[in-house]
Amino acid sequence: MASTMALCMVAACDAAAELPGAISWSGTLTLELRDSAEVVLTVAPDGDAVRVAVTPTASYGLLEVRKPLVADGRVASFPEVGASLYTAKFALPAVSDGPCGAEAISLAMSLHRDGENRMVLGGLTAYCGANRFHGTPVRILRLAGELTPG
Amino acid sequence: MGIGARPGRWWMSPVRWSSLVCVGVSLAAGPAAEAAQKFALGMFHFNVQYVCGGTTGFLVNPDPTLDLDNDALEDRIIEESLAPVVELYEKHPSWGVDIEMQGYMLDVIAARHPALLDKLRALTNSGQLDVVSFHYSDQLFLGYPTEDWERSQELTRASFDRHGVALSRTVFCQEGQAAPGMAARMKERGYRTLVWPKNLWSFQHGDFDAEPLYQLGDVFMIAGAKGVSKTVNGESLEVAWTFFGDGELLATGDLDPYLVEFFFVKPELVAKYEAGLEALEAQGYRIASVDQYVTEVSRKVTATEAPKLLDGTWQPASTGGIKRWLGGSGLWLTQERDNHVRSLGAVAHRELVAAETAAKVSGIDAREKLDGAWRLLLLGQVTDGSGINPFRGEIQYAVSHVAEALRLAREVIDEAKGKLGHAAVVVDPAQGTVTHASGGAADADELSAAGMSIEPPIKLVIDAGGRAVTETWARLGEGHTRVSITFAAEGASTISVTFPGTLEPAFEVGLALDDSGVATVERAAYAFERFHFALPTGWIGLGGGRFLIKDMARCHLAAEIEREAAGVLVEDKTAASSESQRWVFHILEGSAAEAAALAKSVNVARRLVR
Repeated sequence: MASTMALCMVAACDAAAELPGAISWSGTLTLELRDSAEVVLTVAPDGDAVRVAVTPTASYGLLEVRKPLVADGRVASFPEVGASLYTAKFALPAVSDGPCGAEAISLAMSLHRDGENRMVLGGLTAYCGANRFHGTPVRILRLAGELTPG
Repeated sequence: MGIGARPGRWWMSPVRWSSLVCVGVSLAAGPAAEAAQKFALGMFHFNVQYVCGGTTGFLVNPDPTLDLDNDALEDRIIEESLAPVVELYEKHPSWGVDIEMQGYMLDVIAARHPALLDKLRALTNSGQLDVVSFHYSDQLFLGYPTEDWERSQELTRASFDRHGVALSRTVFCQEGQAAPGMAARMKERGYRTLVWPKNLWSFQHGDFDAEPLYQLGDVFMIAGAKGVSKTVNGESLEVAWTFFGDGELLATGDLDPYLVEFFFVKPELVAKYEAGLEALEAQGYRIASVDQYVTEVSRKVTATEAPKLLDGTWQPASTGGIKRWLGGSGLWLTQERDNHVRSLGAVAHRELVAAETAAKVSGIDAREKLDGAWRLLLLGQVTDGSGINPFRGEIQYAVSHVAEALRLAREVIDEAKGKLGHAAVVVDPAQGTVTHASGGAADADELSAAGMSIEPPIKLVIDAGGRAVTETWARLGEGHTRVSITFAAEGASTISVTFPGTLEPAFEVGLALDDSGVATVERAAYAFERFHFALPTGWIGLGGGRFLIKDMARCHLAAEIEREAAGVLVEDKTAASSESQRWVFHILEGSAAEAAALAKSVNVARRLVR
């Protein structure tokens, strides 16, 4: 499912209010172990759609510090193993002194959750080029930590 | 330094053996005999994923000089440990040597160290230096279906071709992974000689005097790090190993890349090693690559048939064999999560296989996307994601790569669904079909069906580590049952289940790179007390015509057997105490061939509803 990408200029947690009946999971995940990202996953009642908000504390030449990234993504379920994968895509502008230089950045989030555990692990995978969410990544920023409901 | 005082593998550093071997050679060499043929071999195993993801976060406190990101750590390995070894041999054009690396490392060298690539290209094309590579990522290929290695092998070969570096006919692998099933795959792809680690041999058959050359199926094999002293047709043949282990450790003084503060080339140590080789050369030794040695010796001797060997890694006594990567714990106990890392790799394998089928049936052009996803999966299957002593950064490296591969695979399946006009589909890779899913019970195959709830047909011994546990059995078909074991959160990190069996002289098991094959293990033929199998497609015999098949996407842990006792133990010593786990196994009453076939349908080419 194609994501609707948008850069959010409001508080990330407001995203939940736009999806009546949605269930929100939030928490502070480690970002590349030393830094962190506030993550809010607002899962639509159908369980398939999710609004994702990620607010990083470091840029890595890819992100804007403390500016929420918000996108509509999806929840890929794996019923035979009881797992979920939260995914979203973010279209980011070029950062001249970053690893993609003058190229725009395509950033994909993939967060894996096993069963009902609160632990999620995955990352933000950066590809150089606009609307290019595959190929050889220029960087994978690791995310890990617990998300709690409500 | 802080918490990471002695991380990684220092305590089992292979270079220590090579030192011993080298000393042994010096003592044993004696005066050079006129008729003697003497070879001095060296196998430098390099791994640019030694600390995959880099050292950032390894120590408790941030330190910009010690927190190296993935690329910076890779560069350090190449500059401080690989380049000095290459330059050493460049100075001695008559010396041969083997430098093993994953295909990915060659890509990194090409991208960021072009001058070194030029040297590798020149030295391999002249035949002096053998660059050995069997896999693209330093992945646990013994633990996954053959297709994953095949994809890896294709990437490796493409990398060598792209960069103009000759790929050696010799094979040695990450963590000394070796398996009898490699022989056929090697032959198919033009490899000639497998270097089998001596410790993996002696663990299975006891100490031994190495023959100059072995035959393993259709390829040659030699015993790695095991010297040879034989008289062949009246002529003395001596083989010494001057190095066999992590190549990173030679130039840096036995310090590994976790120790960033100290991981720098020490020229005096390289010079010392060089002097040792010169001394051997003066004693009549030819400093040779394995391929050069095999070319010479194969003209003089008939290869001895290799004994029955089983899959494993190069230090089985200290790592519990492959268990260290499939449920065994290391130094950073609370950070490890072996089953999560390895079972997620199995989930992604299934999804990518299904995505390949979906793309083909729908006719969408997803090749580039799928190729990228496979590459990420292989990187994510890196051994260091679950052993020997992985810290959380390496674990997260593995999971983040696999998770992204999984996202791409699902995206391809979704595109295929759109092209086919189905909201939901059943993807059957074994049949090569994608059909409309009704959303009802008819979509489920025998493996996923609820089945008929039954009383346990066999009594399991479950150690739940103080957690609440449930055991649920279902009958799925004639002679086919499934058990689901749920370990609730809050409990010890060690959980296990023992499946009872029937002690028989032999049992059957599926080994690596031979998904359809049946290996028979004659218990009396081996010296070990217990052994651990990765079960790359999931199955092992319990005796009495009963077979255990693990659902690798739920439970991808080693199967432990005892030579003199029945039963199979599956254990995870790295279960996160705050998280639940659900393990699923199938039990089949039938033949080994039927077990192998069922295992393939569970783990190799799984039918999925998407």
